[in-house]
Amino acid sequence: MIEFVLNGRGRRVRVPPMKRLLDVLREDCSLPGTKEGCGEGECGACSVLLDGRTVCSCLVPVVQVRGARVVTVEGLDRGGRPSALQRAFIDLGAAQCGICTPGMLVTAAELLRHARGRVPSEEEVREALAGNLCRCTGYQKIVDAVRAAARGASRDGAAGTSGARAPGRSRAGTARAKRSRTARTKRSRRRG
Amino acid sequence: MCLETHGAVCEWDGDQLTAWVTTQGVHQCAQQFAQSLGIPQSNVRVITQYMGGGFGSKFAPDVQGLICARLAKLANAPVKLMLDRKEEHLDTGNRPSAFAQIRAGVTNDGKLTAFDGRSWGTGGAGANANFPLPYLYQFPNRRRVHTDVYINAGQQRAMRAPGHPQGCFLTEILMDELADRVKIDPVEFRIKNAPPKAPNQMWVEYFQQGARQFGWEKRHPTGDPAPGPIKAGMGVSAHLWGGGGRGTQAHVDITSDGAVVVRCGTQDLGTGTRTLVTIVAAETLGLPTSAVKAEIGDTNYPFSPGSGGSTTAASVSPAIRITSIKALDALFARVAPVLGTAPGNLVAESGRIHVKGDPTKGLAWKDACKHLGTEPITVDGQWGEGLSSSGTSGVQFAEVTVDIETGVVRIKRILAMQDCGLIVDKLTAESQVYGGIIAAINFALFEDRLLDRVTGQMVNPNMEWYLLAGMSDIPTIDIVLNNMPERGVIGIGEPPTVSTASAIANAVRNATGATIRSLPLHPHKVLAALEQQKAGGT
Amino acid sequence: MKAFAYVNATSERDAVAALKFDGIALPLAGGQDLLARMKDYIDTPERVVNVKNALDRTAAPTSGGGWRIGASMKIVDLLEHADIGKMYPAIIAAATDIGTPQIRHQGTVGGNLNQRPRCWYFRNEEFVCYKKGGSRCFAVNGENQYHAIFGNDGPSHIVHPSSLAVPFVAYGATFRVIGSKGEREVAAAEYFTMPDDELLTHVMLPAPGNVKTGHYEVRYKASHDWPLAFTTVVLAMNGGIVQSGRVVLGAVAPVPWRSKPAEDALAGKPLNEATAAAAAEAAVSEAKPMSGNAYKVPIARTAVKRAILNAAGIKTV
Repeated sequence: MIEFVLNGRGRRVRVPPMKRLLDVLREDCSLPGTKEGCGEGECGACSVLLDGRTVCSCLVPVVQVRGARVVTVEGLDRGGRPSALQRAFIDLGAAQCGICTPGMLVTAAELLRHARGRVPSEEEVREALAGNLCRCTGYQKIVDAVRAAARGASRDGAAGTSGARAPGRSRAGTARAKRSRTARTKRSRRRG
Repeated sequence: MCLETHGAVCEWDGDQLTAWVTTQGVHQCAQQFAQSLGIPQSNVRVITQYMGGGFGSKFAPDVQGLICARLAKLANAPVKLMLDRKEEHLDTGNRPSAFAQIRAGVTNDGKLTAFDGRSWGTGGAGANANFPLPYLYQFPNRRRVHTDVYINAGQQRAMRAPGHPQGCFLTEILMDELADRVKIDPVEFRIKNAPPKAPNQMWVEYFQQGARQFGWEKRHPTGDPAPGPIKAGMGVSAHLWGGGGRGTQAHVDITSDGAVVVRCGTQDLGTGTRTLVTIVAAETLGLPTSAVKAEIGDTNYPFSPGSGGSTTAASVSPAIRITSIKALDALFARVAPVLGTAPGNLVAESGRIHVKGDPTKGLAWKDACKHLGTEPITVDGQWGEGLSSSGTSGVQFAEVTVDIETGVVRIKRILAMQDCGLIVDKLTAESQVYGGIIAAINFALFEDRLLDRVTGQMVNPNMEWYLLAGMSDIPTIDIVLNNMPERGVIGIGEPPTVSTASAIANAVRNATGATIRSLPLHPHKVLAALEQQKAGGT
Repeated sequence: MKAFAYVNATSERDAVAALKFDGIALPLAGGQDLLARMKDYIDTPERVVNVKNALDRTAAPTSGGGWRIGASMKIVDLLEHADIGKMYPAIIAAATDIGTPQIRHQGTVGGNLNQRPRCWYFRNEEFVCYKKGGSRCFAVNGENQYHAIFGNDGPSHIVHPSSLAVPFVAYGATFRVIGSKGEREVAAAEYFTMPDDELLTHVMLPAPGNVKTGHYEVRYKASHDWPLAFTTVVLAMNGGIVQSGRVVLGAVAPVPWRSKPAEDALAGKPLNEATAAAAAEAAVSEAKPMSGNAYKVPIARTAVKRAILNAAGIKTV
């Protein structure tokens, strides 16, 4: 028997210890929001929060979440209403086929919580979401949505609060709008 | 390759099969289930509410769908069978390879005279691998011999704009080499040899407008003279695509509570088809999108063709438009007597039905629908001429940097000039362009099926060594969509993915001065080309 | 996945006892590598011993002015450790480049050091190679573009997959291991060729002293990719002159590859571009690439040069 806290509620499952957390969530906890993309920790579609940090649930044996807090995409909404982040994804068209979206949302939610109301730079968003692959969107609208949600949240004073409005479709949809962007010939890193 | 693997859930109720399949064509899939299982097609229902990408690889039930159906029958229970990532790589097809030897002629003043090419490609075991060559530009004299090479490996499958990225690359890198031979700027050289301007051939305008917007005048001649190991360069490429569609049928219900349901057996690959259906119906009925329910992705709904060849928007939008107009006309006929006017005098806008030119003389949508009583509006309609056409054109510019000490290429900027006829929804149209470009960045730099030369086994059937661009690999992408409402709906899924890799390869050549005639632009190829250049040859 | 017995160890002693087993017993920490290997039938242990709770997951200063890092410490915690970051910047630079944020959140220091090879023949159940009891290395006549360019004289042509191993060797770390014969400390560089019948519990980092360090990684993708080559240099300085140094290359050999020729080329020289170029050239002088990976030689050379320039505070690219 393995006990953990799932989306804020205590949960017990009787499953083999090396069963993938991903399968436990989908099959034993009936939460199919978490998706499988590659099954090997490369694509991030199966990202969930484990004690506040994103992990690939396809690589985590369920025994290693004993006693931990797990949050899936189903745990991100605000009483059945989309969070500011989810709203921004919808408004800005940050999803196409949608299979990467749960992982993107969970990972971005972690970033926004760590940012504590500050709006992360484009580069920060790209670094934070480096482990989440998308085949459809070209990523730009995802970056835009995460930052729009952060702007909304910073106005509201707390990340993830519902009701924060993302910029409307017409403005954000202007692809010709100039974007200031730090060059990314190499990744920023601390050096000795 | 899709982020969601191929697969299905199958369930039998007696001799009735319901299959939830990740497919680009529910009706086609049902037909193939029926054929392969030897049951009447009327006994098969295929449902695709949402799917995790298709890109051309998801039409048939495939072996995994048929096994799933058979297992479900044997188990007398629903069965889910999704491929794992390795099976996905080995079983669900690849973009076929392309190889060519080309001789070409050009006059000193930059007019193409001749193209003489031999090409080869493999589509795996027994499948062909042809592609358009030469691509787009006007060679007054041309000869080309193509040979398909069969190898004992998985078969090719359609991959977003099948054939075009290959033919485009082989032609466009030739164009830059020829432009250098006659010492003419690559944009000017292309303008000299592009087909004349037409609604579906807007290249000359896009070259000119794009060059201005991209800052092409800052491009240096081949080989960045700047000191240091990081060299920058710009490249350009052009493409075409057909699109256009037909054959879709649709159904619209309007009930006395004001509810509108639109049913169409098309499917949404993630391209926004559901959004498109909703928008077209809502706009036609003068309602907000929230007042329209679009039901798609089910063979119980009216027929719509598979989603391939960028034909969905052009086949679905007219059908929804025509059927919605039909439904509205039926509603007008029922409401006109209440308003004491003829049906022809009515319009629907801003959630009201009123007399043309007099918004006060009318009813709110819901109040109007109350007059339907127990007999709802229920109409069928289908695609008709005049609302769609085909043929699109586009040009893309790329700027890259190349680290000549490591061979690593980084893409800085892409500018895409693209038309697709009438833009039904700007947001999802742009999304298609973004998506096409990232797919092509993967084609340019990363995606590569590597077969072990001794055993023929794929050594990288995973996402660890089959590389895919992540967030930091994607540059700033600027998109200029040319809205051409007079041409009707055409389609945009594939064209934006054609040019990107060629523009990138030409930018790499412009940066380094070294000629690389192969994709992906892996560091080993870049370093080898630089070595060769140092040795004095191409 | 094959059936196995599961043991949850709660102390180092328990863990050692549980791993001493007639059949195949494997330790489980973050589990990311082991789970993937078991799922793909690369490893079929009869017993899995969870050591995550048995091993230290913290870092603590040592009496000698260095640091001691527990094998169960998560990579993200190492990455965010302010003191270690200040004293051993190359470790942080290396940790930053490990996998994805998700991998770093779940992965442990011990797990990173003990990962099995990422060789695509080893990881594919259909190829029974040397490392899986077979009789040959498929990379030799096959696809070896990501394989070793150093240390190819032996039977193994993999590149060691650990990013942390390289700076640990460069900083002169020792590893504390425990086994049925008790505990001992071994030099980091020796650990990777030892028989694996002992359990790694701690990485012991000596006080770095008056050193300059540099780290540079070359990889193809900007987001999440295995390195093509990377280098850590730790140079003991006497004024502007390099007294002695360690130059360690990663992703180029079956073990973290310490380059004696590069270290010799640095000793007694001023830290400048000419020295960096000469040391980089020396580093690749002993490279023996395979049929398809000669391109990694200039890449390794560049990684060494830029790591040294990085230590010198000279902008590279």
